Amino acid sequence: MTSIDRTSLAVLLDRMIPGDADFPPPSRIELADAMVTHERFGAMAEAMIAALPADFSTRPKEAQIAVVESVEREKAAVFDPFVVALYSLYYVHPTVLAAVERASGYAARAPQPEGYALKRFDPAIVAVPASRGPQYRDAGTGSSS
Amino acid sequence: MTDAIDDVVIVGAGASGAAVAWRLARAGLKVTCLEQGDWVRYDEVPSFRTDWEVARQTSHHPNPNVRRNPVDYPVDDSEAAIKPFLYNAVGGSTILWGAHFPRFRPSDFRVKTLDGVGDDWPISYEDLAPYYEENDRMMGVSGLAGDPGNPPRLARQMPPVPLGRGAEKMAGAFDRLGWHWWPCDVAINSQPYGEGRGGCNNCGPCDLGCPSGARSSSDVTYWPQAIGAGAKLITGARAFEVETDSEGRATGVAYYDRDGAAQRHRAHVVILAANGLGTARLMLLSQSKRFPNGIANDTDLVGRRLMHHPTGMVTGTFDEAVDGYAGPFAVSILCQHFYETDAARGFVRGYQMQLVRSNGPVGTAVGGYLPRVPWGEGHHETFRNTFARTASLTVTTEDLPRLDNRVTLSDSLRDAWGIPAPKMTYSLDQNTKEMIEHGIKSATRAFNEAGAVAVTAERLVVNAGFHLLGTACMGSDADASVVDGDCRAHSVPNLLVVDGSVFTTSAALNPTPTIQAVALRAADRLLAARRGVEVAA
Ligand SMILES: Cc1cc2nc3c(=O)[nH]c(=O)nc-3n(C[C@H](O)[C@H](O)[C@H](O)COP(=O)(O)OP(=O)(O)OC[C@H]3O[C@@H](n4cnc5c(N)ncnc54)[C@H](O)[C@@H]3O)c2cc1C
Ligand code: SF4
Repeated sequence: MTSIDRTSLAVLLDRMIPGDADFPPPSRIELADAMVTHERFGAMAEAMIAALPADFSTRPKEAQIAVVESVEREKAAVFDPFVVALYSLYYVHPTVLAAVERASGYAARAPQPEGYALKRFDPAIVAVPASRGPQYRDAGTGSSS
Repeated sequence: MTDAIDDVVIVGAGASGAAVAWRLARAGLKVTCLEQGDWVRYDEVPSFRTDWEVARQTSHHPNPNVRRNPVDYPVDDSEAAIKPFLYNAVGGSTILWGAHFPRFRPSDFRVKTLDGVGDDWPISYEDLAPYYEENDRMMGVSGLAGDPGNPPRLARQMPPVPLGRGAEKMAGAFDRLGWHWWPCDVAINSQPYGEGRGGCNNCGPCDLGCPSGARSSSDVTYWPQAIGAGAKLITGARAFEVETDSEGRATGVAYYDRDGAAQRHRAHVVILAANGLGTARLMLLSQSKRFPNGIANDTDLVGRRLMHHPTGMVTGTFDEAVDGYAGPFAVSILCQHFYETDAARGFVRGYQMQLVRSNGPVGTAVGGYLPRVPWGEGHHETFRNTFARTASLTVTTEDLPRLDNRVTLSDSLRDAWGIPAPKMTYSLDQNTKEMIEHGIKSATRAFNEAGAVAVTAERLVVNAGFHLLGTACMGSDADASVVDGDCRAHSVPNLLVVDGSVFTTSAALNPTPTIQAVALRAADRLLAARRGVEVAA
């Protein structure tokens, strides 16, 4: 990928995930670099850049958004895997996970080995359905309702 | 049967292959299983890493066409409304599965008699009941006996897994609506059970592999015991033909080994357990003078009657966190209120609603239960409003068999060793579409009752082809089915099919307990009949 393409990619990523008070824009966490060097996602970035006009990065913001909307509409086979690549890399970045933790309480760590504490099953909860009679149909083969 | 060659060769080491191998090896038969995948290592599962969700989109994606791991075979799904989900490894697709473990109901085996559609199975719920029990013991089931929606059964090995806040809300809603619901039977240890298998710590992504072995898969349940009983398992072995003699009796299986060299494994009995896609593919590949259209395919039924469980998905968003990323992702409670036929609804047969928890941050953003979070301004606001706040109900419908829904061999696609890939041709019928619409209305009502602030429905989950059924169907009539009630091919006396291919109809429930019960029963029937089984000279 040329340096012009990399610039386009970085601009594109920021258009797609604009940062806000909690979350960083992709450029702040150097997501374009992570994407082009990724074993699987690199090809998706290449394909997406190939679908953009060469002067994408220098067009006005509204024009850039219109271009991305048209790729989304007309080239789903390129766009959809690209979005998966983008969201996948963005939402596993430590800075973003920390932002998710601040916003939701979801711990910015791997699921294992700690797992999560959940309240044990309490049989009292089935009182209503357990009070009902059989609700399955007689198949005439030995079991009946 | 003599000692010179194996008694039995099995193709496929997944849910059914493992069960049948264990049963036959324990009875003293000389058993070899050929499996194209490898053993999975649980010390390095992705859920130990913070980027675990990337694995779900790449190396552990359930669709082999996306995953593209070297051991996979591709599937031509260009004409399939539902995409294939499966895994190739010791353990088969149970490596990725959610471990929901319901039994079929008695009526599921009698749909022709009761509702005038599909066909009756040649076996009944009662025929399978003891095998369901035995399989439960082998796999280890957490759940609660006493479900009024199903015939009585023994106490489960372990109490139910924790329901979580989403399921507690939905249970209350079902109670207020007067609808059936019950904690799911799950093949997950809510406490330690089985050899070296620990209890679940609610980490969430069972599909990435369970490091403690709490989530059952046949590589950690049946296989250690099968191997202990003498079964031999050859990994990296891709079967490409069931070989026959001039009379059409099976003589063994030809396969490519890990290095791509062709090998032959001879046996008196050949058992296919490569799932509804892989078995049909292998049978169609096995052409001979006696079987020009594929082994045991005189009726042209091999590959036909492909059934999935077409699924709609309804997601409720709550105004508070329900922490659905915690707990085994696919299981908590299910509702079978709309399971049996009710003529007033305008369709035959019915559906289950299975409450699934929710996703991590990536899964929320890329969509699945909910549509993808839109890009651009507002992206983060949508993310914040949905992440950890949703629960979803599947509308899992019964698919009725149709000849046009089928597996054939692809003209254009081949696997890494040059073996033609299977092609799936599949569309939905009107009955199914109406069932899904009804299910979406029911699930929406339930979420509204539970206090959801938004309810979103997906009419057909395209990425839901994990139940591959019917492509070598079971029946008493040799002109209208491929195998008999004991899973033996009508036209090849020493060939058995024991995976979901043999399902006469699909029911509307996750199939694996029934697949394994059918496989265990087939093994017992083979053992009982084996001196009378006609084998190749
Ligand atoms: C993501 C996901 C979630 C699921 N969740 C559930 C659930 O909650 N509950 C449930 O009941 N079911 C679930 N299933 C389905 C369940 O996994 C299958 O029903 C079950 O594994 C089928 O068992 P099987 O023996 O027929 O085939 P599999 O388990 O798929 O095993 C077939 C094996 O055959 C091997 N094979 C295929 N072709 C060849 C060949 N030519 N040569 C050598 N080996 C070959 C494959 O590599 C594979 O290992 C799920 C599946 C997936 C993918
Ligand atoms: S949720 Fe439980 S069963 Fe599933 S992988 Fe985590 S620990 Fe294992």
